[in-house]
Amino acid sequence: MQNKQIIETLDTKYSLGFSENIDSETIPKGLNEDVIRLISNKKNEPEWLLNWRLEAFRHWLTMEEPNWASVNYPKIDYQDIFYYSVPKKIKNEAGEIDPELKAYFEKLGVPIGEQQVLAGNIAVDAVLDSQSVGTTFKEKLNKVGIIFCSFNEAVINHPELVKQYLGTVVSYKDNYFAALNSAVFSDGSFCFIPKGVRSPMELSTYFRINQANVGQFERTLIVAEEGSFVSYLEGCSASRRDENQLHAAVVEIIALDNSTVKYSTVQNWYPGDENGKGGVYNFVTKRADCRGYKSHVSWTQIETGSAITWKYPSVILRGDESVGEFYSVALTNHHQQADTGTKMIHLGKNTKSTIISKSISAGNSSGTYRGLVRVGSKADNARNFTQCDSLIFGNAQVHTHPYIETTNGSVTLEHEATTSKISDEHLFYLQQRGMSEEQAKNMLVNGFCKSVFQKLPGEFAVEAQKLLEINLEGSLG
Amino acid sequence: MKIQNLSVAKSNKKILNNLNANFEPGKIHAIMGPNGSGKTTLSYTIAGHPDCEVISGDIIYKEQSLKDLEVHERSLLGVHLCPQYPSVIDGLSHAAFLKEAINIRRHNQNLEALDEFEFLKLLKQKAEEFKFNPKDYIRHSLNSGYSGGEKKRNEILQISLLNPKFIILDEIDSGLDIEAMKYIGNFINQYIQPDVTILAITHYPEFARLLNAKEVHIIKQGQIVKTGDIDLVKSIEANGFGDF
Repeated sequence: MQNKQIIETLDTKYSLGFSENIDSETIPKGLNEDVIRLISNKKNEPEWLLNWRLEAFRHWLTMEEPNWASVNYPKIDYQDIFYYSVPKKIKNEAGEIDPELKAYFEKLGVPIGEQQVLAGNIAVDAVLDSQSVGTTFKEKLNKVGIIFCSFNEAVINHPELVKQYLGTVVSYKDNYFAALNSAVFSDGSFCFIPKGVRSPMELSTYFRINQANVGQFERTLIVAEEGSFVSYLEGCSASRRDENQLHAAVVEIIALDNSTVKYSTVQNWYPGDENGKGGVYNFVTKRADCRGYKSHVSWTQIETGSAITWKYPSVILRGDESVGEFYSVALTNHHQQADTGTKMIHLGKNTKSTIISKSISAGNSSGTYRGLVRVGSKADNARNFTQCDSLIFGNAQVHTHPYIETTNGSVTLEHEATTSKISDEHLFYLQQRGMSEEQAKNMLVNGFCKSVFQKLPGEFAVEAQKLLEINLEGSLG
Repeated sequence: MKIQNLSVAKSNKKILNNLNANFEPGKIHAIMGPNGSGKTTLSYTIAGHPDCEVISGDIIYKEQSLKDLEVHERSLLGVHLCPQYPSVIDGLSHAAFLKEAINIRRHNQNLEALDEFEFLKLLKQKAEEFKFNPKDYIRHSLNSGYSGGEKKRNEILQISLLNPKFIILDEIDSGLDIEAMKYIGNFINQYIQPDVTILAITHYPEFARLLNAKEVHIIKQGQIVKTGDIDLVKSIEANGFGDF
């Protein structure tokens, strides 16, 4: 009986599942070269980019969907997806964002008007289905030389930068979903921090899937030049739909000498209902290239959403003394499946990486940590510290696969792992010491996640903690 | 605490059968009886374990019925169960666990929460008092890797810290050597106050004597069949439970 209560209490009452009838221009379902030409044409793209898309598409046709992850789902019919859907009305004659869209994002708690943002301010790029609908604080950022805009605008206004960096971290040949994304990506964010600049505010992108059967394929490209610093946040959610929605994104980060990029994600995609119906398939490739001396990239992710997560934010430690970090909390409940982790590829000398992964699983869900630490022959004195902890409620499943490959004798690798299985008797014991079931669970989860929450920027840390508590309380939030 | 005509089933099997008892405060009560007579079920029913289904009857404590209260609500009223096998939870430190437990209690009594500093000072004192290494204890996961004796000492540490008023010791003596038994017996004898009730479930007449139990209750087939003073222990030693 108690186990049932646990599942109910852990139940995410998904509060962001609403959808609106937004008048949208949607091109017919299906995927072929004509669809790609049409997308490219709608976005006024230069010839080289169309050709790149077509090459990616032709390569994708030769590939097979990967099946090595510990996730199960029915075969995806790629011809049954809308690849392009944009709101018809985004801005009025005065160049202001359509009030309906603004209200829509406000309902999500995403401020896309600059006046509403509090003193701590964050610049936001808001992406709805296939299109960015607005980016805030562009001018203020421009003054210090930072380019922060939709991917599409970057292609039009800064083609040389896009051309120089696009696909250099994640090639379209990298994997099945990266190839698909390269062929059909519609929008996303572009961010360029010039030499020596420290971003005066946090930059963020909010991705939202509203329309039914629309796949979201966004692309984010972040370039940090020598000695620069940026903290970047990504949030996401989706309408509650009975059909599964496909989200196949690519994020590329390039960090040059002495630059630092902190990338934080709070992922709250619709996870499907308690019987496993609906929910987002989140197949994402995120990778950073520490290309310079002492480049530093850290990924922090809080994963509560999506029916299936397939995601490994990774760092290539190419430059000597570069640093890569991965901090993750992944919560799965009901029938959710998550196969997530990271890859740290040490190529430069004295490179250092840290991996802290926390999995929380309840209900019939399964969580898998899959990590790879690879040390190349020239990466003398490379160091890695890995910690994988699991918190399991009832009979959920957790798997851990930490792979290590090294051809260098001078490396230092440390690995720690703990598993805490919380049974009904444990909860009874804690309740017998005065805590309600919710208080007991929050105590367990917050204590368990503390070291990762500390890595999140202030406001985001509060949001992340709240999000996990909402999931635990099963309230409407 | 008054137990009135209490019948309880576990997994659809009736274990307690119209049980009546009066556990007066200010006393140590020993509960004794053969295996399977319902001793542990009685303890868990008082604490509110969801597996113990109350079919009829009631439990009255501090002039209210416990029957419909949640486990934590009973705990906040002062009911405290030391189970025979205390939980082991890896990844939950004693400090995190007991800070939450003590502050929830304080909140319930309209007292201000202890801050980190005050709390750790207190917890280290308690650790020292109960023969744990204070520095190690606060960071240590709940009962992780502890021996039977350490777990039981950790139980009485919690009593000392949380100050409950109705304490059920479910075979706290099992698996302990005589020295450890004495240690616990000593603590319990010092802890007893006019407003404190202690139920000690035990198989060992020796432990009942060590506790200096004022009342001995014999439980058989789900009923209390005899209540008397410590002399009852003698006849149990001589003839087992057959006479009752």
